[in-house]
Amino acid sequence: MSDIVSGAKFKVGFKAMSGQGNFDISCFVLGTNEKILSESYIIFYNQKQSPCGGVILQGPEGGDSETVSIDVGALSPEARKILFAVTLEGQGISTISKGHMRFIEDGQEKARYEFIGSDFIGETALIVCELYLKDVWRLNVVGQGFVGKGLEYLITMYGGEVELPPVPKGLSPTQLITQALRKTGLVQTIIDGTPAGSHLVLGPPVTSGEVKGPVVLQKQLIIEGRGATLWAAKGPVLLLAEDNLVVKNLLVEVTEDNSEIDEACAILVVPGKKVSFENVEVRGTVRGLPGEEGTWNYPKSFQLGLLGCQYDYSFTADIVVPVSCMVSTNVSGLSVEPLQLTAGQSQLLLHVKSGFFFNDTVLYGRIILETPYFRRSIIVCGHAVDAGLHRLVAQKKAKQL
Amino acid sequence: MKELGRRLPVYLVVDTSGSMAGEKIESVRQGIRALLMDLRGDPTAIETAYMSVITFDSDARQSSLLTDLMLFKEPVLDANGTTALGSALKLLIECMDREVVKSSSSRKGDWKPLIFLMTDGQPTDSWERAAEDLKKSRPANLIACGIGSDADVNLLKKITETVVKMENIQPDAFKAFFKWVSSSIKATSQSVNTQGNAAVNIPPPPPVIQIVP
Repeated sequence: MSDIVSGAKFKVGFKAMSGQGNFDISCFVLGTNEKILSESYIIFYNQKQSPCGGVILQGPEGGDSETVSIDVGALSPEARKILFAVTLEGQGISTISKGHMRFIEDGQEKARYEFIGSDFIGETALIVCELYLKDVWRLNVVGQGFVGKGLEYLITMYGGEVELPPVPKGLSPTQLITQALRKTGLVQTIIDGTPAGSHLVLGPPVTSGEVKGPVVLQKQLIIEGRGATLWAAKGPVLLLAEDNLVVKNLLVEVTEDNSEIDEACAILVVPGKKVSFENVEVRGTVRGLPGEEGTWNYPKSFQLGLLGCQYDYSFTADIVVPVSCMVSTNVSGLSVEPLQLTAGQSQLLLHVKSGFFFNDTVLYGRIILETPYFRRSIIVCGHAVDAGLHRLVAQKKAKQL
Repeated sequence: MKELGRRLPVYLVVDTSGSMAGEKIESVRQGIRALLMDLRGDPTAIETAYMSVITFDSDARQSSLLTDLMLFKEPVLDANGTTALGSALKLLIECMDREVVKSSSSRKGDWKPLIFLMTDGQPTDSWERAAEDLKKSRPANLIACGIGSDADVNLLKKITETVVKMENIQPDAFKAFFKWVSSSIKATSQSVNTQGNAAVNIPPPPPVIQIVP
């Protein structure tokens, strides 16, 4: 190392261009047996610092997407090797078009190594380089790819247990707020002009019934939505960054289906901020509120089609909820089971009872999923007719929606 | 007897997003009611026209299946949420694929569908691909109506050549619009029976409706 950096403290910067998704840098501090010293010596997105403080993930800096700060002087005396690995969430490394790793000391670049993803087709993890102790700390540029399962694979290989906690990844709340502030529109101007501590009314006549976000709330306000919808194609849509914020009678919606964690987020609460919600409906995920986080998967609507009044029907649908919630419906003549869903995948059963409807009745309403803070809804529509009078009634009495 | 005739499928594609709430959605509700009353008094329309309603807000759904005018049931119109125009256009294409009878060697199919699309705002989802599909393949005669000043008529032009604009959003303007829809359906029912598919017969719109060139 001494021919690259002169002191014990330096930084290793990484950048990778990827068509899809974010890449992650992880470091493994190994002992003499080529295994990690302990699980706290895997430094990755959920554990950004080694206990000794010798390895710290610092996030983007100076044009690099991820920077690792190294202090070999502070490292645990048992440490013999530090591995630097690149993994790409859910995809192979070969979707990285190109990237680099560089050594920086006192703000100056001392050495740089380039890599291209097409060298590693099919691989899901790449060990870029290792620092190892042999009398002095030395550098070995490895460039070894693995056909495996990315980070989990590497953790197992170096003696760790795979138990990646479901802590949300993606950008930090501060980064998301900065990003959202660049995209705000008219409503943010109205908010910025409203003094702290006051009520702010959205919806007609102040705004349209559909308000384009994102909206960042950085002062104490009471937002009265009057049933308006705050939306954005990509989340987060509503960002709450102050204590004692109140949001009422509002629908907050991410309008496009986004798989990326930040974009799928409807409401972001800066962790620790005390906020309250009354009659708020959400489409998208919620971050920063204990007990509300995680991914939802349910249809936007159930179309039951034409039903014969004299028949029983049962419809089933698979849905995924991240937290337990209460289920109800406001469609009369329709019953729904179970009334309480537990976290995970479940099957929702919709039952239409024979003899309930007269000929030519429109079924229209919602199935409501309620968590302690929010409501989510699935629109239901259908049309009940007398099957004897109507030749179009032909659907099965039990159906997967 | 009637099932053997060639049908004129009519789809009303109605924006029921939050911006339509209040007087506008009430006007549409009354407009559809008046449209039905009017068409049910016209023997040729009863014989020929079949109607369906697709509503769209945060999602799109076929609120009334394609049925003849006597069995047609008015949909529940409830305005809230966003404007998923893309989902509505996709669903419209699916519904036409499923419900409109294509001509074959043994059977004459339905007449080319007549579609009235009404929206008052900006779409909130991606709509471009579905619009392109509709405009390119022209599976139907589509008349798009922009309601009020927020409607983007240039965008509607990407879905169809025939775009009209209703600046005035008073109940009387809606009434005139639906009256015109009714006349268009009646005239087209009449002319397809005598002149075939090419004869779409849309009378000139009333003064409250402006044609977007």
